[in-house]
Amino acid sequence: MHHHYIDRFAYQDSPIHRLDPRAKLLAVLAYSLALISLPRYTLPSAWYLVFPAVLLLWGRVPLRFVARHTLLVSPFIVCLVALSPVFDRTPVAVAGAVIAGGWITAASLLVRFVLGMAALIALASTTRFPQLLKGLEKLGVPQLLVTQLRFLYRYLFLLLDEAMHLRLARRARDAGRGPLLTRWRASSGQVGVLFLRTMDSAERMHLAMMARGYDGSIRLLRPLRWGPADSIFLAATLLYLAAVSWGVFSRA
Amino acid sequence: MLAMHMANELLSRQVAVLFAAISAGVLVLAARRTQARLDPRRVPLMGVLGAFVFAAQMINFPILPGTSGHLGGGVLLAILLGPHAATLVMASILIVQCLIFQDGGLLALGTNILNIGIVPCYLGYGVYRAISGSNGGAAPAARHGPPASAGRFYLAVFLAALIGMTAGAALVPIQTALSGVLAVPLSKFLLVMIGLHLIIALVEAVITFGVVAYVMRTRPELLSESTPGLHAAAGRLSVPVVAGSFLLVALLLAGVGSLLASSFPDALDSLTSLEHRSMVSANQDPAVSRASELQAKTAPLPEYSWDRLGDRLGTSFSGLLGVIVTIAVIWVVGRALNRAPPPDSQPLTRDP
Repeated sequence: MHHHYIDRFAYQDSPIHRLDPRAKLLAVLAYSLALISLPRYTLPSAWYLVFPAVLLLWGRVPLRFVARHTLLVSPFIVCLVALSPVFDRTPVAVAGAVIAGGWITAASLLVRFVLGMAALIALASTTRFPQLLKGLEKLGVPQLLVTQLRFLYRYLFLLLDEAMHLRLARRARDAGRGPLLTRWRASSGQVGVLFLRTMDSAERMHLAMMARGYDGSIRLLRPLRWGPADSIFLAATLLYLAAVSWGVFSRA
Repeated sequence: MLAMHMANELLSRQVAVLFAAISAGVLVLAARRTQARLDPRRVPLMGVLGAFVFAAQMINFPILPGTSGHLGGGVLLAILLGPHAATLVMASILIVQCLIFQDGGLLALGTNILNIGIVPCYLGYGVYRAISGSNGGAAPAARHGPPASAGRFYLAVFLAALIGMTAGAALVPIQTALSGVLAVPLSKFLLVMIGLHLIIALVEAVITFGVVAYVMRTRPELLSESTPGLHAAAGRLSVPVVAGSFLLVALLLAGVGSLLASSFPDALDSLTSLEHRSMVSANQDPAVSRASELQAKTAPLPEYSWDRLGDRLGTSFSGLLGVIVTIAVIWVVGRALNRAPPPDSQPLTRDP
């Protein structure tokens, strides 16, 4: 089983992919900030759709993938949204009818969530994680944390596979049955085995890296270069956000 | 078992920035402390351990038929690596969850790192050290201390998980209340979060103990060097100790339940002079959020004061009843959800 499909779109090529990861990260950060700065009883205007749509479409990220991924992460926010009208009974007049304010907040939360998710998915699907990490490093994130993230990412998929094998092997033997205590012991053992394998491979890996001259820093084949395109992209995004937030478009 | 990942939408700008600053400050300090203390050879190991925690969350621990928990990892990491390194590893896990799996928002990262990483690691580690009597990994002097028993080790892990994780989770309702996005009354949300985390912490403690015990039995040399106190884990655990921890959780749950049922915490709400409008509870797991939704709905139900003869008794009873109903709901929802997807297609993004 392979889990690399999670960030496979990051390995395509497009003008969005070629942008500096720092520019994209800062832009998405600013966009999220704009989203949560909206007053409570307002729905984000349709103009907020532009930013994630441009990134996703230009970056050739399939919208079906975005929709599926958003759905996967959404159950909890959907539950919250369902609860909103129960607790918030402030009457609000909308188009002549009076409804509970909770409905507005619910819709607002949901729309913001979908927009925010789309932007975050756009970032993750158009930026290779090692490049993003290099960007974080340049932005001042402590070196040690970045190194951690690098190893975590590199080994995540390997160990996930390992865990899936353990799970499969176990299922083949106990078919998910047996006394609770026995199964807990088996599960603890499984995590223990996974831990031992992790330690062993970490040891081997470390020796191999030392043998190849690892000195704590990782060099990328494509070093980050902040070009005019990045400045233009970031400036355009900020201008657009400022315009949307102050309602320039709606007044026009 | 499950972690409550905050979403961007539940926070106000100011709260998000404030907690991001707090977490960033702590992370920088933790990185400095780790770099000063840790053998450089162990740095790659820390990263790989983060991946290990991720992968270990794929392995299920059955709780009730159809419901299962899994390792959270914070307490285990804090015991194995010490609080500074463990915090860094937890932070890296949360960053990857956010950036690759979109689990928890970008702006909510600061709050998530504080709630799920920093607080459980530091607070949990402090509790663990105070009770286990071992000196963590740092000083060799620990080896001269009295040898701890398996029961004591379990107790230390249990209380570390209980206090560390519950305190972290309790921050979620507080952060949302500070943001003013909260419609559910703060006290109700707080009590639901605490109640859920009492159960989660119990599961976490048993798993952590089981894993450490397994490693100590099979490959003691891997761990003994760094943390002398772990030897105790290999010993036999007595039944009364475990039963005692279950009983403690049950009693605390009953207490939380009765508080939820009583009208006392309304005072707490009036303290936070915020309007509670829209509604919120930051929870990834559909089973639990649905359960808490249901619980929130049914919570006003036990406001009956029974009759005058035993107000307190009645309240406690209704609290206990509420807890049982909650667990039943979690069980039913969990069962229904578990039946749906085949075992191999479980989404990766679910509640690590």
